[in-house]
Amino acid sequence: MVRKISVILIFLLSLPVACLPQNISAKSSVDKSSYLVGDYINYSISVMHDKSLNLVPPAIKDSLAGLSVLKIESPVNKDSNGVTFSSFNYILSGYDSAEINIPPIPVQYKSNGDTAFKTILTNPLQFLVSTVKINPSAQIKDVKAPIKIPLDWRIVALWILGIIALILIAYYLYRKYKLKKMLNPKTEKIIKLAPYQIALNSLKDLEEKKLWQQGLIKEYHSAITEIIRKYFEERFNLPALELTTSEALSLLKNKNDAAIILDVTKEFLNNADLVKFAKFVPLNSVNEEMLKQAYDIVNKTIDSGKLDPVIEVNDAQ
Amino acid sequence: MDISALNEKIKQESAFIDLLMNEIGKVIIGQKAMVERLIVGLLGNGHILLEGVPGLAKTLAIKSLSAAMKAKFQRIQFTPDLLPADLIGTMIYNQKDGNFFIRKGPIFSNFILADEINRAPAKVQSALLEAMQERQITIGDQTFKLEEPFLVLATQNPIEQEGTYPLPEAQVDRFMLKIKISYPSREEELKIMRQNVNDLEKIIQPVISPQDIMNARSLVHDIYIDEKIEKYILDIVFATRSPKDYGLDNLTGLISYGASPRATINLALGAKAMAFIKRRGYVIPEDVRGICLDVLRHRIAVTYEAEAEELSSESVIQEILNKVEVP
Repeated sequence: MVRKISVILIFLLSLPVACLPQNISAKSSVDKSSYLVGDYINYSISVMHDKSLNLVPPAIKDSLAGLSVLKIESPVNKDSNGVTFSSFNYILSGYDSAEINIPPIPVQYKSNGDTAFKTILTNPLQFLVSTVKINPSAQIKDVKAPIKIPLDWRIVALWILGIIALILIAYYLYRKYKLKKMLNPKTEKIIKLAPYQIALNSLKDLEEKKLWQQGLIKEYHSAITEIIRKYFEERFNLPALELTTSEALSLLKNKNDAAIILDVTKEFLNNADLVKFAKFVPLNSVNEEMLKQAYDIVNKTIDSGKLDPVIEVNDAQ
Repeated sequence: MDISALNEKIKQESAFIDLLMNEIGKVIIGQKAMVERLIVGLLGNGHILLEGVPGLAKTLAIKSLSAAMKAKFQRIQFTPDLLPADLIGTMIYNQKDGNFFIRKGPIFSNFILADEINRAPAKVQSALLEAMQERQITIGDQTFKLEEPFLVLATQNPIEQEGTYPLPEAQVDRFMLKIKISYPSREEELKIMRQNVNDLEKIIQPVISPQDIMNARSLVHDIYIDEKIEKYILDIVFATRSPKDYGLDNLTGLISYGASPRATINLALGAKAMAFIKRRGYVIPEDVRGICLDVLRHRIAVTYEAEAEELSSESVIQEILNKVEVP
């Protein structure tokens, strides 16, 4: 009986030893203990085993709740003194803040003589994935700073050369223009007639047109008064074209040089007004008298200081 | 009609102008321009808006004019509680015979002095201005023609604007002339003082009849206005609308709206009346210029920019007159 119990005890004690794989161990690890959301998590499973054992790369996808597998790297095997170090690396990432628990990952293996796979488990892992801490008092800034393009001195040099070239061209054109102007000076002589000369010429032109002789009496009186009003503008510096007869006469009274022509001007302008605005048809003698009066007004008020025409030389360019 | 014959006729028919001016001059010292423009309004069949501080003989002038013409005169003081019926009349129930009868208002006169027109609300102003325009009044189902001559002289006080109802631009346009009255000269004021202190009350005698005015009006219509003058009037009015076209670039942006066609009509009519007063059968540019300011000053509105530069409609008109060439 005691023998039977001893055999059973020896069997039971030797059972777990018989179940353990021989010469194989598996370990999992991550590079940090805490991560930010979106960080790369380098997860690796390292298996140390006999060279005679064949490993099946562990399938981890279904075991990683809350993590995404971004990349599965090729296994790396290293032999040393009959022992092989197999390493399986994964890049994971988590997109929610959480405390992540990676459970023990089963690694399957078998020796050459075995028909079935055996399994060894890695150690479980625990780490933290957290969100970025926000500082509400901090200033708003770009997530990423603007990219700074490094200064290219070749482009700067090109610009400087271009500007210098433009300045040189402009200077060359300016010199050419000045030289041309010096060689071919162009001026325009303007002969500015004295007011009395303009008026006398205009009266002569009007006389030659023979307007009233053709029945254009109103036109004749309008033209003759316009000549005299223009003359007053130039000679006495008053806006006679914009003044009525009485206004013009009233302003003429204030001009010393005009005293001599006041009466004749009054008669002249009033007669013209009658023809222009009252359908008055004057006698031929009145029309002739109007011209005579106009000549009188001009001739009696010639400015002795402005007898000759003024010649103005203008730069025509 | 031949101009010389018309000239002669006008010289004869306009003799009453001197009589009228002399008669009014018995009580109105100075203010010749105002009296002259009252006659322009009478002859041009237009109404007059008078603006001036109190005490410048506005009321006395129109009273004297009506007395000198032996015409009916009514003075209506416009107040905020005035009703249109107070002005034009109303229908009153007669208990004896159980019928309504019409009681005519004070507007049924030849001369109306609407004193301080801007103190009455818009409905009363409208009633008056409608009567001015239509020259007839409708009370109930009966329409009455107003007796000619019919002249409304409305006054406005340029100060104390609080609690007033300013006339809208459309209604101001119905006044042929807007006259601004200034203070009398020192000599004139001395005469006024002596006349009133010494109680030298002058009685105005009627020197003309309303019929004389009606006859004169038909003569005013016959006054010859040359095409050159018509063009000059148009130039002035159009310069208020588009000053740039007349070389008045400095006025661009200073006039918010220019004068209406009613201004053109009234300027021509006013110029004819001025020619009549001057005993002429034809209009000359002086007549146009003489009345231009009174015809246009209330028909041109200046912008805020102009107001900021202290430019009034008068200065704008003056600038236009200085620029537009006289024919």
